[in-house]
Formats: sequence, structure tokens, C-alpha cells
Amino acid sequence: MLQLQNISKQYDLKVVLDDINLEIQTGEIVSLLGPSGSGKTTLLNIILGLTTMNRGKIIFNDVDLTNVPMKRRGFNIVFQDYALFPNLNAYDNIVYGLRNKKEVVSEKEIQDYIEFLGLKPHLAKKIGELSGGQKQRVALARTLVTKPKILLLDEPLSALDGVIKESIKQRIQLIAKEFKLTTIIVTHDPEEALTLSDKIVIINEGTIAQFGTPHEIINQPSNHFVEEFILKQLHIKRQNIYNLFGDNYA
Amino acid sequence: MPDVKPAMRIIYIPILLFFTAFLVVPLGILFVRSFETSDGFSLSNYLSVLSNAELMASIGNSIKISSLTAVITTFLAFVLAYALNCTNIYKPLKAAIKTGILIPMLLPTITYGFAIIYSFGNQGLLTKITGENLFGIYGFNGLLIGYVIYTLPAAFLLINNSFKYIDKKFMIVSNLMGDGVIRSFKNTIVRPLLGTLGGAFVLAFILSFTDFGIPASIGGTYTVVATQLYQVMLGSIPDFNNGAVIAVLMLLPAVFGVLLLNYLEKLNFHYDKFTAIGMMQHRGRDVSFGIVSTVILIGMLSIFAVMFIAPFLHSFPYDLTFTLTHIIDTFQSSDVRTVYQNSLFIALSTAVLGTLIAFCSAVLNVRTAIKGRTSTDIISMMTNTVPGMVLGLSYLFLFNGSSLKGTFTIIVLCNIVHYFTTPYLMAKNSLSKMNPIWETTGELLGDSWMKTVYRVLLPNSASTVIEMFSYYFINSMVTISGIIFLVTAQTSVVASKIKELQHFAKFNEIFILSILIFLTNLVVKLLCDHFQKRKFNHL
Amino acid sequence: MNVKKLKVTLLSLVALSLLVVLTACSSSKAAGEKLVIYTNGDEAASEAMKSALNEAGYEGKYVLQSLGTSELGGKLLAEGNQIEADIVTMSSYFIESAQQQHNMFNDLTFTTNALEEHPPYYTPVLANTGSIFVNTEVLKQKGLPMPTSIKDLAEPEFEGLVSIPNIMDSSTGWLLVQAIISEYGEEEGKTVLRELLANSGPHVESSGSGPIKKVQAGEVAAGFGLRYQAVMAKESGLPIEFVDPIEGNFSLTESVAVVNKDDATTTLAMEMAEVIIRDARKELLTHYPVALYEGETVADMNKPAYSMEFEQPLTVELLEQHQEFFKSAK
Repeated sequence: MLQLQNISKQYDLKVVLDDINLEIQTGEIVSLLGPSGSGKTTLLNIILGLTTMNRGKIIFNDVDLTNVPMKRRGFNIVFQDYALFPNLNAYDNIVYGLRNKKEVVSEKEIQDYIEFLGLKPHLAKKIGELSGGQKQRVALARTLVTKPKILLLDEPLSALDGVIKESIKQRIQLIAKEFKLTTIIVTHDPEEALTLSDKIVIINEGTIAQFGTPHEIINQPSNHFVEEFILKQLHIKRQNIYNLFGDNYA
Repeated sequence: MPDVKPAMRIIYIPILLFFTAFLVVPLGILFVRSFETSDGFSLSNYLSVLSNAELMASIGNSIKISSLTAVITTFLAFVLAYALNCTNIYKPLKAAIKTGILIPMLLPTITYGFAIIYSFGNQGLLTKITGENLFGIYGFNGLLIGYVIYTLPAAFLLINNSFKYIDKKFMIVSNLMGDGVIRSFKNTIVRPLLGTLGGAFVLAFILSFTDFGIPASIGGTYTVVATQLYQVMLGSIPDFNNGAVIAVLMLLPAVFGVLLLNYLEKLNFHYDKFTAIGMMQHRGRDVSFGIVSTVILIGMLSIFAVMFIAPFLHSFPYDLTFTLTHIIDTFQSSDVRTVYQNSLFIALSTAVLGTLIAFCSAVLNVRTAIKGRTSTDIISMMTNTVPGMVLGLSYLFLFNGSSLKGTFTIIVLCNIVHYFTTPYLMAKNSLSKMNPIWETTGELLGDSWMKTVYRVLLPNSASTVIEMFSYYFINSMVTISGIIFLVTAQTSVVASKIKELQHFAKFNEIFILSILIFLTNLVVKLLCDHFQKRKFNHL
Repeated sequence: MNVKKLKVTLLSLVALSLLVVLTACSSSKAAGEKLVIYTNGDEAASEAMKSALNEAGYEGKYVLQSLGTSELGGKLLAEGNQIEADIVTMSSYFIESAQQQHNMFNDLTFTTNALEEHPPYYTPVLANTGSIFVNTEVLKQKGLPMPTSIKDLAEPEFEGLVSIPNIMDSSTGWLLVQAIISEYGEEEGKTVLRELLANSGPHVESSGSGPIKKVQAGEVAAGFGLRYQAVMAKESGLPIEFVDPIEGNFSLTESVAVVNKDDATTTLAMEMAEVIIRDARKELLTHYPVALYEGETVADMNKPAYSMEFEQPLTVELLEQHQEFFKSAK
């Protein structure tokens, strides 16, 4: 279980996060949803340990990680642009971290991850030769083989084409279930957040607007912001799709 | 950007100390010496230099001839770059221009003068072919030819590079809008290139103003500031304090030039994106530019032709039968072998250490948040400004009493500092294009910072690192201005040996040594290009 | 897989360069123990000294560095015994001046049978004699008469076709100035020199061997320089003729001296200086045919027709006076 207590962050005089409190259960997929500039990426980086906070505590399984550096927290992330190393091929990217700690996974496990993510045919390819979805999966594999205690994903779907989006979504859900991996996702797309995660944290101007299951958010929006900016978008989308297919499909 | 790690300081501090000891302090000493007199500090050295008519005339000469060189070079370089980028001339010709123009860079400037003497002199190759003396070559004319050849490759590279960033769609738009030839040319070519053309002018000016090799070989009675500096320092009555003053005066136009360059940089257009687009058909344009650029290229290369011919003849220009005796004699001399080994050693050491220092400086500047990292930018601006002769002289002042005097180390250090700017900017450019979160990713995957630099940044800069190596190597092989005050009998290099041979007018040996430098540089360049290309194909 | 291969190549390249650097480093250390000889002598003199030293078994134990007379003179006066060199061969008057200023030379520990007297810290190595020479082909081509005096070269018909050495840089240039001053005096001499300089234009050479090279290359028709060089050029079949000017053939001696460094190399330097005098003279005499030691003889062709000596003793001060004279004639 990951607990965030009273987390605040400000750059110079600008308050980015103000008194964030949150509890995430083991194995849950949680999305941090909000418009750009809301502070959701900063929160992700604080959890990761990349950004320091001004106030507050991070507690993971009853251990206080507040002052533990990024490298020793045991979390890992897939960045929005994947940050794959172009001097290495897909396979060498995946096993990059194992040079530093060999004992973590066996050769068999590596093969399992590769199999699971459908990367077998692409292992010898250079990074430049991979498609967006393949890069995404290589980056996922590279992160997963380090066996992170929490998986962080920064806008995992934003760089992908429509069709691939859905398959990657499924893949992420499968991973969370298969490995009982707590997964925290940053996204600005309400549809993505609501269809992908167990719980959603809606962040606006540095504070939590609502924290709940997709069902709760759709049916009991806690304030004007959630209604206006999150639900309205979905309604428009729904309306467009209805118009396209006709009412009988409703 | 990763937090500041101890490893970064471990690299940063030595680099800072290095440039303090070998750039800042020597230049400081130079300034001090320029004010030093037998009775305390005063302006009297400056007054004595400024009231010396001969010296002032030489400074005037330098400014005059460097300006003229800069005008001619900029124009020729522009024509060549235009032919390459905006015409449909024969493809192999384009390739020939691109390669051929760089050939002078592989030779020391002191060789240019001798090639010109043997080409345009009374008995020169080109004089023989044309049947009469074209013009007097000693002094102004010879210097001008030499300087233009010397500065053309650098100016061409600069302009050619900018041409790539001109959006050629604008030419089509301008055409469709009904612009006339002149208006179209002005708006779509000249205006966007204005900053670069100015930059090429300044670059050519500074290069000619500070070069020592060309006036040393062909200056004749036309004195320029570089030869005056040499005479004041190493002539029959050495005057170190006046030498310091001349060095400071030599530094001034360079400082001014670099400031101007930075200003001109702002004039440059920056198009967001540019597309490859075929040039419109225009036979007249293609034919005329084809001819003009061929003439420029052949004109330049023909001057060097004699260098590859004369040493293989018995006694140019009287006995034109083929012989290898000059070559064999030269190589049998243990002197030649020693200076060649010295040169090779210095060039390799400079290339390895210089690349290391420039790469580390760039990494610190671009990829870390370390405090004071912008100091490497300031260093690179300083090294860009200081002429080699001035740097060498300041080393002479600072290290004359130390154990560094007369060592290879001091020459290597001087070369590293002298040529720091370009490799540093190459590395910076390449590193700043890389994904900024690689270091974080590496850290999450268990790397230390140094390990990520080694496993990710370095391999991804391989192509650039090779280019940096090649730049340092070639320039160390050909430089004479930087090291002329630092070489001794035991550390003499090929370029300074040429200066010594000049004293005996042993042209065959001069040309053979020049060919040796040329071939060495060519091999290194081709090897580096080969590795670079292979690397490029992999990404 | 190719990437890996490339990486290996790259790394091995780096390793290779480091290896070269290291080996060269150690070899450069060896070079650091070599003895250094500075000489203002030209190629033939250097070669003669080198072959004498090599035959005596000193090959690889010394470095011989040629410098212009003015450059070496500047170094001697500026650096004193801090100079890199252990042995110096240089125009005698310069060695005397340097000794007066810095007391930088050891007395020689060996004896020679020189014909003329000299101070204990040097002994002559060679002597140079000045003369005129012409390129007969160019002379014919341009329809010029054969000159007999330096004054002839100052005639307008030789404009742009004469090359002379510059007294500011070259001791050979001094031989020319001595000849002009002793024949015509300062006043008329200045006129002659002015016209000669005008005729020479860009061919005023900083090296004493500059003019003969220019004449050989056909760049000019006539020149003033070292007599023996013209003799050698003529013997090798080039269209060169030497002419002893009626103003006189003046001479300069160059001598060897050992720098006082208070260390082990000084002993070795003394031995090598002796070898130069004992063994190199024979070859030197063929190039610089002036007898300096007892028992030396030279062929008639090498005996200048109008051998002369300047009336005042040669010193750096006199040289400076003559340099001023030269400058004022420009």
C-alpha cells in the first residue's frame, strides 16, 4: 500500500501541489487525470523520487520513503517518449538494467516477459526500426524485468495510433493483474483514465478534485470542475458516436 | 536532468583547473608582461610599439590584406555553396567540389607559400604553362592567394551548412509571386544568408590576420603583424615585453571579430522545418555555375599540383626526368623520421586527450545541472578568440622557467586549448539533441551516472566523437602558429621542420614532408569518415 | 551484432592510440637525455658535423638544430646558459659578445693548431667567403652583361633580377656590406646599396643561401652569397658562374663553443666539440675552402681572387652599426 500524506510542492512562488493525501492499494491501477499544468506529472515524479517535495511524506508498505533517493525506492517508470537507447537493439535495451543486478530475474523470466509482450520477432531490431507500439512494449519490458514495486506510466498512450491504443490498454491491465503490480498512470484523457483504471485521481490546480472508481466519478461528480471538464467531454464524445451509429445502438 | 552527483564534480573540477592553468593564467601573464618595463609598470611599451612606424605599417598591412582576403573568400565560398545547393550541375562535379575544397585543410599553411612560389614564380609550373610571369608573387599577391586558399574551406563549410537550412520552397513561392531574378535572389538567398555571409567574412579575416605560416613562406618585404611578432620575439634583438604588446594588439581584432560573430548569429533565419525539393530547371544557370566552380576548384588545386610533382623530378624546373632519389634521401635522414614520429605522437595525444576534455566539458554543460557549468561556454568563447601565436607566446612567458619548457606536454596542451572550440561545440550539439531523460532512465535501471555516460551517451555520440578526434588530429598535424614559440630541438615537429628547411630553401624536402603530413591526414580522415558512416548506418 | 563489432573496433582504436601515446612517451623520455647542438651553419656544415659525430659513435646521442644567425644570436643573448643547447656553433663575433654578457661558455679542454689566435672558449669551425654569382642562361635570355663588381649589380638593367642576403638576419649579408663600405666609404656606399636594394626588390633574402637558390631557380639573374655554393653549383653542371667582385672577397669565421651547464653533459659536450674540430674539418674544408688549421690546403679554384679583411675588428656593435647603415639605405 502506498500512502501520500500532505504532499506540497512549489516552484519559487508558484504552488504546484497543495496538500495531497492519497492511499493506493497493492495491485490497483490508478490514473492521475487532469489538464496540462494541473500538477499530475509533478506528483508522478515525486512518487518516483525524481522531484523533491517541499512538505509531506511518502510511505510504502509502512516504510517511510520520503528521504530515500530515486534509485533505492524500487519503483520504475516508462516515460512518455520511452527514452530507449538507440545505440542498442531491442533486446539489449530490455536487458540493460540486468548488467547492474543480475540476480533479480532468471533467463526464463526474461523470455516470459518478451513472450508476454509479443516482442519475440523484434528483438534484433534497432530502435529506429520499431513502430510506436513496439517501442512502447520494449520500454515496458525493460522496466518490468527490473521487477519494480510500483510501475509508473507517463502518458503511455498519447504517442500511439488509435488501434494500438486499445491493445496496449489491455496489455497494461493484464500486467497489473498477472504480476499484482501497483500501477500509476498519468493521463490527460478522461476516456483513457476511466476505461483503463480501477481508481482515478482527478487533479486540478494542484489539489485533488475527486478520488474514486470510474463508476463513482460518472455518477457522483464531486464538484463543478469534474462535471464541467471531465464529464462534459465524455458526453460530447458519446453524442458524436451516437450520431454516427444512430440511436438504436444506444 | 539528474541531480548533481559527486562524479560530475570529479570531472568538473579538473577541467576548470586545466583551463585556469593553461588559458586564463597564461593570458593574464601576457597582459602583465605587456605593461612591464625595467622601471615598474607603465604604458611605455605600448607607446614604443605604437610609435614604431614599421610595426604600425605591418598592422595596417595585416588589416588591409585580411579584409581583402575576407571579401574574396566570402564571395568564392558563396559561389561554390550556391552551385552545390541551388543548381542542377552534374552530380559528380558536386561531389568533387565538396571533397576537393577541403584538401588545403590537410596541409600546413607554410606549405601553401612554397607551392605558390613553385607555381607562379619565374620558373613556376603555371608560369611555364602560360609562358609568362602572371604577376609578382612575393608579398601582397602571394599572401593574398595563400590566405584565400587557406580561408576558403572554412568559409565554404560555414556557408554550405547554412544553405541546408534555407527553405527552398520560398524560391518557388517567390517565383510564383512573379518576383524578378534579382528580387527573388535577394529575398530568398541573400537575406536569409546575411548572418552567415557576415560570419564567413569575419572568420576569413581572423584566420588570415593571425596566420603565421603563409607570411613566413611568401611574405617577402610585405610585413604583417604575425611575422613582426615572430621577429620581435626570436629576431636578433629579442624584446619580450614588446612582443607581449604586439600579441595583445593581435588579440584585439580577434576579440572584436568574435563579438561580431556572436552578433551576426542573431541575424540568421531559423526555419522550423525544411523540405528537400528539386531545383527548377535552368540550363544557363547550371552551365555557368558548373564552369565557374570548376575553375575555382581547379585553380586552387593546380597550385598544389607542383608539390606532388617537383620532388619526383631530378631538378625542377631544369632536369625534368623522374627520380626517387629525393624521396629516398629524405626518408633516410633520421631527422625526418624523428620529427615525423614527434608530430604523430603530438597529434595522437592531442586528439585523445583533447577529445576527452572537450567531450566531458560538453557533457557537463548540456547534461548536468552542476553549478557553474556555463563556464565551459565562456572557455570555448575564449579559446575561439585567442590566436594560436598569442596562446603559444603566453605559454612561453608562463612556463619558461618551469619543467614544462621544451616538453611534448606543453605542445599538446597548447594544441588542446587552441583548438578546443570546434570539438566542444560538435559534442554540445550532438549531446543536446539526445533525450534528456536517458540519465534518469539509466539510474532507474541501476546505473551510476558515469556508467550511463559510458554505456549510453558515449555510444550515441560515437559519430561525433570520431569527428572530434579527426578534427584535433588534423589540426595538430598542420598547426605552426600555435607551436612556433614552443618547439625546441628535441620536440620539433614536421611543420616547424619545414620552417627550418625553408632557411636552406630545400624545397624538395619541404614538399616531401608536406606530402607526408597530407597523406597521414588523408588516411586519418578517410578512416574516421569510414567509421562515422558505418555508425550512421546503424542508427 | 554489428553494433557490437563497431564498439569493439572503437574501443580497440582508443586503446591502440593510448598504446602509441604510452610508447612514444617512454621514447620521448629517452630523447630527453640527448645532447643538443645549435648551429647557424647551413646544410653542408651540419652534414659534415653530423657525419663526424656519427662516425665517432655518437649517433642517436645528440640532436643538431639549425637556426638562422639572427635567431640563434637572439637566443644566445636572451637566454644565456639557460639555452637548450649544450654546444653552439656560431659566428665568432657573436660568441664573443655572448661570453661578455653572460660568461656562458666553458674554456675548451682540448688544444688545436689554429692559424689565427682565438679566445680559450671557442675554436673556429669554418670560414665563409662572399662573392657574386650569376645564372648564365638567364643572363643570356635577358641580354645582360657579365658583372665584375657589386656596383655593376646596382645598374638599372639589373632591376628585379638581383638577389642579396639581408644583413638584419644573415651574416652573409654582412659580407656584402663590408665590401661596399670598405670600397666606397659610407657616403657613396649608401648610394650603391640603395640602388642595389631597389634592384633586389622582393629578393632580399633572410637566409645567406637564399640568393644562390634564387639564382639557381632562375628567379633572378645574379646574386651575392657564399662563394663555395656557387662553385659547387657550377661543378654539378648547373648554368652558374661565380665572379669575385673587385670590391673584395670578405670572410667570416664560425666557431664552436661549449655551454657552461655544470653537469655531466658538459664533459660529453666537450668530447663532441673536439670530435667536430678533429674529424669534421676535412669534409668542411671541401665545402668552405678556407684553411684555418696548420696543414690544411685548398684548391686554386677555391682561392678567391680579391681576399680582403675588414679594417676594424668584427663585433656585434660593428654589426649593429652596419645594420643601421643598411636600414638607412632603404
